[in-house]
Amino acid sequence: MCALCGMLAGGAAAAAAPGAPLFQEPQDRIARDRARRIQLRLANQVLRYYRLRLEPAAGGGWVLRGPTGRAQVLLSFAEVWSAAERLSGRKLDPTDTGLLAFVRAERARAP
Amino acid sequence: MRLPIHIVTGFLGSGKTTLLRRLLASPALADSAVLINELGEIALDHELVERVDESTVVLAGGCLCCAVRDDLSGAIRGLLGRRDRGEIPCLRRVLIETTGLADPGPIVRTLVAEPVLRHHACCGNIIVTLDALHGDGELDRHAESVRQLAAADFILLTKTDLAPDGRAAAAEDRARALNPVAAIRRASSVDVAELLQPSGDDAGARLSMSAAGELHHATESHTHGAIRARAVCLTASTPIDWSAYGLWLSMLLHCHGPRVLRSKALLHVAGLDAPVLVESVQHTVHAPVHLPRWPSPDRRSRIVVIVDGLPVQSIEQSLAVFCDIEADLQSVPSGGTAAYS
Repeated sequence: MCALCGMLAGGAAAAAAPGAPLFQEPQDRIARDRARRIQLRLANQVLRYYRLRLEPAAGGGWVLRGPTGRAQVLLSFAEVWSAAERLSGRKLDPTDTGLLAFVRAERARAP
Repeated sequence: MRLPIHIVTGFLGSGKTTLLRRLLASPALADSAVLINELGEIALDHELVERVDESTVVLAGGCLCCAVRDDLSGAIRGLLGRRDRGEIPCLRRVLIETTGLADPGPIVRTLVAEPVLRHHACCGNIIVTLDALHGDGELDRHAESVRQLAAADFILLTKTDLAPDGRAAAAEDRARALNPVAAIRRASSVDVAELLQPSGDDAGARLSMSAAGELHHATESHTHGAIRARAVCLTASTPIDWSAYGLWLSMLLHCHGPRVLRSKALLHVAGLDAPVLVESVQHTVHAPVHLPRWPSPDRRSRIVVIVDGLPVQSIEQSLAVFCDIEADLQSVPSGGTAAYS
């Protein structure tokens, strides 16, 4: 299972049609690291709106840091949204117009 | 190979048991086990399924989607154990007949989240019966009926012989508007083998048809009732970043899972030649499936999301921003959505 399948399916909630090929995890480390970097960059564009920051953890997994310095270690990306709600005390809604405007502005500022 | 588990559902009295009897009479369904879920303490439906034998299990006394999910996983694990011990010599699939009030979402979640089940079994097709005579009114009055239809891979129109002229066609139009990516067939003439096929290629082809505007969409809107389902159909001609789509879908389902009744996306993923099919039922995401080829020359991504009460524009804008395809995203075509309640 690739990084994205893990993110989509949360690892525990994945099923495939019978006999269907699954998305394969990138075989080489460079491809895996690249997928993880993209995932991290996109997630942080969203999480900054809630004053949160996601960092890769040594040996896999993630660390999510809140505005007061509180941090939570996450074993998989699927835990990010629940942890972010706990740390920020806010509901994370991808249709929130404030969030969407913030992400647009983040993209415009990015080099 | 994992054991496919197909779900047969549909509103009360819509003809699930009759369909099951017909299906089980077909040689294509030899080597099938059947789990029948009934609401009452006294189970009756299994008496109507002629092939009551050691491969038929009755789950009575509660609804699968809320009360007896442990029974479901236990029953399937029991079948797997009996197969492994040779007590059921050949077991190729399991059919679950739900109660008429069942929501397929929690059942799918049980199948894919329970650790033993997800390693030995997989979710097959969701087959939904729709009464051509009464289905229209049921969709107006009962949220359960809308949730069942929204989750369907196949919608089978039943009692078409009893429906007055035009009634079956109206039911079909309404079903198509609510779930543009399900295959709609008449139960009386359905190809049984087709119902058992993995949905990947067919779903891709149906999404292609949908995007090309070849599906007919009803445009009427009903504003009273318990649920307001709407199919959002979007296309994008530029390739979509896989990470961005995953981030968007995971966040959308985390926040609005129970209101995202169904999603199906045939994605042109940046860097891949063939499309990827991504499906979800409420909170549950199926593992993405690589299709071997595009089902038509059209290489656009097609995304269908069936939502309950969420504004269509907010879904569209959210996807556009997350995937950075604002200038490219289009609704398909005007009249491609329909509201139900």
